[in-house]
Amino acid sequence: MSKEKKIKKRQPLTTQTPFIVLLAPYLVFFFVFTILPVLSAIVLSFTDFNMVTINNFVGFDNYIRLFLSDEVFTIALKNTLVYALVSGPVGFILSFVIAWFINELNRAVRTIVTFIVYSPAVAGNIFFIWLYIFSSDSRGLINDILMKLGLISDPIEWLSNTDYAFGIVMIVIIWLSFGTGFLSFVAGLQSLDRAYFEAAAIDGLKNRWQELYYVTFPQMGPQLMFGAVMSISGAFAVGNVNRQLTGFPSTDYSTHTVLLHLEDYATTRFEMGYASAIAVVLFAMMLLFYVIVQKVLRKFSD
Amino acid sequence: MRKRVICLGMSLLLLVTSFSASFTAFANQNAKTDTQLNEETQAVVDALNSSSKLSSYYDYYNHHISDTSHIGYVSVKGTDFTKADSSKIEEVDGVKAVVLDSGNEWVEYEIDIPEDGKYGISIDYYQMPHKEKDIEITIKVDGKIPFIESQQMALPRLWEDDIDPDNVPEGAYFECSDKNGAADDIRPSQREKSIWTTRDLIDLRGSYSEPYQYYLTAGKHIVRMELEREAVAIASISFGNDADAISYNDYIAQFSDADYVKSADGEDLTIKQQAEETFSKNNITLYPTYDKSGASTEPNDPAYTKLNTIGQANWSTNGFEFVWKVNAKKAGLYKLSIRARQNFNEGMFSYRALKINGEIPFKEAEAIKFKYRQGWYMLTLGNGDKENPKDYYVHLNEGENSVSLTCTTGDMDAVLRNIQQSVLQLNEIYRQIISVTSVQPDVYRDYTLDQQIPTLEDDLKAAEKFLKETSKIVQNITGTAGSQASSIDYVTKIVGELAVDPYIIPERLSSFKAAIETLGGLITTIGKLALEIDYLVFQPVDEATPPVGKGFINSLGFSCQQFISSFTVDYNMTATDGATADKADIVKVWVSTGRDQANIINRLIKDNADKLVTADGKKISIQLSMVDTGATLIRATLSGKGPDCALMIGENTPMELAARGALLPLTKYKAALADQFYESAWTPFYYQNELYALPETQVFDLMFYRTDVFEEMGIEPPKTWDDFYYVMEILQNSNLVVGVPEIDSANAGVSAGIRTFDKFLVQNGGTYYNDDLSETLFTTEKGYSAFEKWVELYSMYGLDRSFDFYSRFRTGEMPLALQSYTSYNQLKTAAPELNGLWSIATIPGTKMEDGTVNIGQTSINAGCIMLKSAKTKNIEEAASVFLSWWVSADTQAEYARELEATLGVAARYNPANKVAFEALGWTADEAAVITEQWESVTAMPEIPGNYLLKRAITSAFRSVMNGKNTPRRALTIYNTDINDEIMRKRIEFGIE
Repeated sequence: MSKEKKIKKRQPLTTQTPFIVLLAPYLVFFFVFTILPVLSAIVLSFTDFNMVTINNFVGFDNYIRLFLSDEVFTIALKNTLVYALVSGPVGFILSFVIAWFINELNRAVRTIVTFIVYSPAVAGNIFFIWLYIFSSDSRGLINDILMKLGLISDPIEWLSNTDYAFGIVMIVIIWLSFGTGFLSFVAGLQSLDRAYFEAAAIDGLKNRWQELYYVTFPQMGPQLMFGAVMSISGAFAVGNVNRQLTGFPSTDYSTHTVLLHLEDYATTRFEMGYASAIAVVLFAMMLLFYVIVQKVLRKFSD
Repeated sequence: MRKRVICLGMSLLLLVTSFSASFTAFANQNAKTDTQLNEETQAVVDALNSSSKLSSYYDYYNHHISDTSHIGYVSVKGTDFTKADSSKIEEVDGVKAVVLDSGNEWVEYEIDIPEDGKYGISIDYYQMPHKEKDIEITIKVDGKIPFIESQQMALPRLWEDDIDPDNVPEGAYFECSDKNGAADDIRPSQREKSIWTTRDLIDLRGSYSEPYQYYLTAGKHIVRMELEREAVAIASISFGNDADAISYNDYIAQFSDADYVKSADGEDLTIKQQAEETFSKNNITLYPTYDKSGASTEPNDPAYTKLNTIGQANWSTNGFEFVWKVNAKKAGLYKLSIRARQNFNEGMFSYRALKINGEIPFKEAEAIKFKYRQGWYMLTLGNGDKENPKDYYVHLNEGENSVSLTCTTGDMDAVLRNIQQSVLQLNEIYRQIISVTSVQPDVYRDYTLDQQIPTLEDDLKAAEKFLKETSKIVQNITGTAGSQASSIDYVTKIVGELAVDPYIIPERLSSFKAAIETLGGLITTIGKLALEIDYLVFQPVDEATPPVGKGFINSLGFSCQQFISSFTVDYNMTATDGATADKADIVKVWVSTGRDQANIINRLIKDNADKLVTADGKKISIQLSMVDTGATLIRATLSGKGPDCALMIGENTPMELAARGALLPLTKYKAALADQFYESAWTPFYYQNELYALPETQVFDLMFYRTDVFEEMGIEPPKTWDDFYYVMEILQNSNLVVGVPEIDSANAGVSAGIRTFDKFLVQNGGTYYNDDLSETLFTTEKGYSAFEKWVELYSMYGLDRSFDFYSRFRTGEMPLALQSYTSYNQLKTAAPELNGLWSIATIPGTKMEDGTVNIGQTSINAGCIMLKSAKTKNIEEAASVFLSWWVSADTQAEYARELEATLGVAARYNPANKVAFEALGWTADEAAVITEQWESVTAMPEIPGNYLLKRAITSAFRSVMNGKNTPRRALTIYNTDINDEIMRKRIEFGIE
């Protein structure tokens, strides 16, 4: 891969012109709707922009406040990292493992199982079912079961009690994490070259784990990378689920994340400068993790 | 009202005491002979009479079920009264009549009844101008009210479309903002059609398809009519019943062959009457509707909304009627077809009674069945037989004929009253059970229910039997085991299982409750017989019925046109009024409501063009757009595409925008409006001593309670918190619960308030902030004590922290709750079986040192604002005239009235304008309760950073409930967060 890149770089600009022209429409959109907002967020993060009045340049004030005096941001940062570090890898590994299992099934069954596993991600707001399961009403599913079993006598406020809320959100996020990454694994496993498996078997492969490690992984580099990127961006952008389940803001900010903190400042407090600073930090965090994951995965695929 | 409620409650109480006997009697009515039945019911009715309490019509009806109905009429003229209470005789519209026009006026008549029997009452009346609600009267016979329903006999007002012929485009019927018809039709407002009309007194719930029957013995009787609501002139009153309509065969035998209208060359004898072009209707909600779903409904337009149908969901109440005037070129018999759609009541029929020139022509037209189907169909009047179809013809006179269709429950009336009775009975059983087991029973414990409630098994068995019979009736009518019948069967099964084995009751309690709710829901679905019709067509008998659709190709073309026009038509803009105005001085108004509301506002603007002028007489043009004014408003303002005014803005937004300099102050416009509002309506809209919004709505809590349960337990609705705790204890002893919302979750708005905490705080004389609004006052003794009282409700008294008020109130397991006064609407519309069994009162208060009770609380407000752009565009004056007009009493009252007219009681508006409030449809007693509460309402000022208030108080509350903090410690800690944020925001906005 890296060799090809170098060759392309050495090509004179004129031979690349057709490609650039063909790419232009997309590049324009990409610039206007992705690059420009990112750049403007970086610029705005150094101002006290509040959406209505003219903004003043405030230097690093926003960042200083964010890291040194905003206690809620610390909570949000901690929560986001825990969510990302647990649900990201767990979701990623689970996605792969389940895709790997499914791959052994015959075609019809495989389609059905794929559909079932993937459906929570497609169905969008289906996680509302968890609101019923963990409803704080005495008729909520879990409360009802526990009360019938005589384990508790009063309903537990699952989603507003700081002892439970965080864990419940974590479960739901993992449940939802079988997204596009999972699909790419299923597709990737399908497209593997059977010849390698045969060759490896002849070369003395001892068990399936070895097969997985020496044959499957190296072939699946791009899919693994894609899945990882998806699960990182998914894990860091956690927020909607928390909001729907535990309210906004949650009790004592127990399930607050960086994204929710950003929205809090942008939509209820209208402190866009500060919100931009949060966005920049979130962006930087995602970039950092992406680089780390890339390094780790390259070890497998090379 | 109060008296009525108590009477009702008492009679129910009596019913309950004689429960077993009466219930068995009613339940077995079909199985037993009439004499047996009479003996048993007689005992009950005698018991009721002996204690001089009112019986319901259900009992009255059953008591007199075997008495004969008198055919023919005994009439008395309105002016021939024997006694009267200051009633006037006037000539109204050419008829001499007695006029009743102020509350509780009455007239008495002496009537001579020829024979013992049942008499319906029919009144010839004229609606006198008043508050535009239906007229209600009480009928007393010989000084007694025969049954509860006799206290609320409705005489509906008649309405017609208010159409200005000058604005109607060529060939169209309705007004349109564009003269060529290239715009949406404007739904006409309904104006009163004041004509003399005759009406039987009927049950609007549809439990009885015949008029109310009064049992009268032969001889002289004194009948008194007492006005309850509105104003009316009465020309005559008739007692008796129509003879049964003749059968179709007898009807058609009256005519000779020459009477059949046959198609003739060169002459089009077909009469097509577009259903939306009505002559009159008897309810204000029966306005023209539209169907855009296909090409075939007439008239239609792919791009714009044309009002082309009538009826829909609003045409579903017993007695609701449309009248059309059709012109026949030739007298004779015609074939009648109706293009109709009934996609409202699955598996059921909607019934309509057809009248031609005021009379039902033949028996078969008493209840024409419209079957359920997703799409439109042509219903040709006939015997409905598939194999041997025969059309029924109707006779029209030459010239004008009046044709009417009236909603009726047909033979479903028996089902309705059975279910209503079942729900009341099952709820009673449910309450008896939970008084022993509590709502959350221990399933491993034997409550010995059969010993605790000896009648339980019999009651359940009787209920099961009663339901089984009801289900059978439904199946006989619908011909299939449709969803309604299966719902009843489901309930029957559950009740039956409980009857067989009372030991499983604790385990099955929740499904029993769900079953009762299902049954309650059926009343609303079965009793609502909605229908939509497109046109009626009278044809010569030898012509073929017109096709229902325009064919596939036309429909496809229409759909394509619809799709294409969806790119060009701006559906969010309801209209741009002022074709003559140049663009620059148009006042752009954003409103975040549904389309119906926006249409009403638009119509009000149009109708009041004469009031919307600037001081120098220039007409103001207003452009109304439907925009969800949340974050959009701020973004649009930022990009310069924002509006000049915005309506229905939550209470914290004006402050948020004002602090950022996006709003224009409205302080100088307050003076002219101040006396129409309570001070609490303005409070949240102040920022730095300037007013930034004019108040539109204001909502606060009321106490809802079940009068029947309170009567049964012999308790009064609590006035103070001490009473409240006492009542709560009594209710809890019977395992009933009390509902106090912990945190107002329905209003998740940032500063919606922590409603229960607020009540304690305000009643203690406390408030949120200090005088210069720079700090909270929660960490004062008043704040601490309010917080502690709030926490104690849940920690000490064990109230449920979250609950479904509506369903629990309905079953009666939560007979007392504090809820927003808008809950009234939901209960009124969706729980018809509870009508008369609940009431509202002011919230519990705190007894002050001088003996008075402080019932203070905070309110949730909304208002309208003017943005900076109004100044830059130099239309500040025009915008202010618009806003002042919009919140003024007349406009708000009219808006509220129209809203209720369009969407029904469920959409009753809650204006902040107290003058406008008086024009709404509350009864005098209800209005008195609301007003008393309203006067004690305070509102909290909005200050920058106060979004943290609700968060912090909520977190403090939860940390106490989760056992992490003591109340005082929690409040102190979280209060610091609030004050820090307030300080930070004050610095940001340069206040400090």
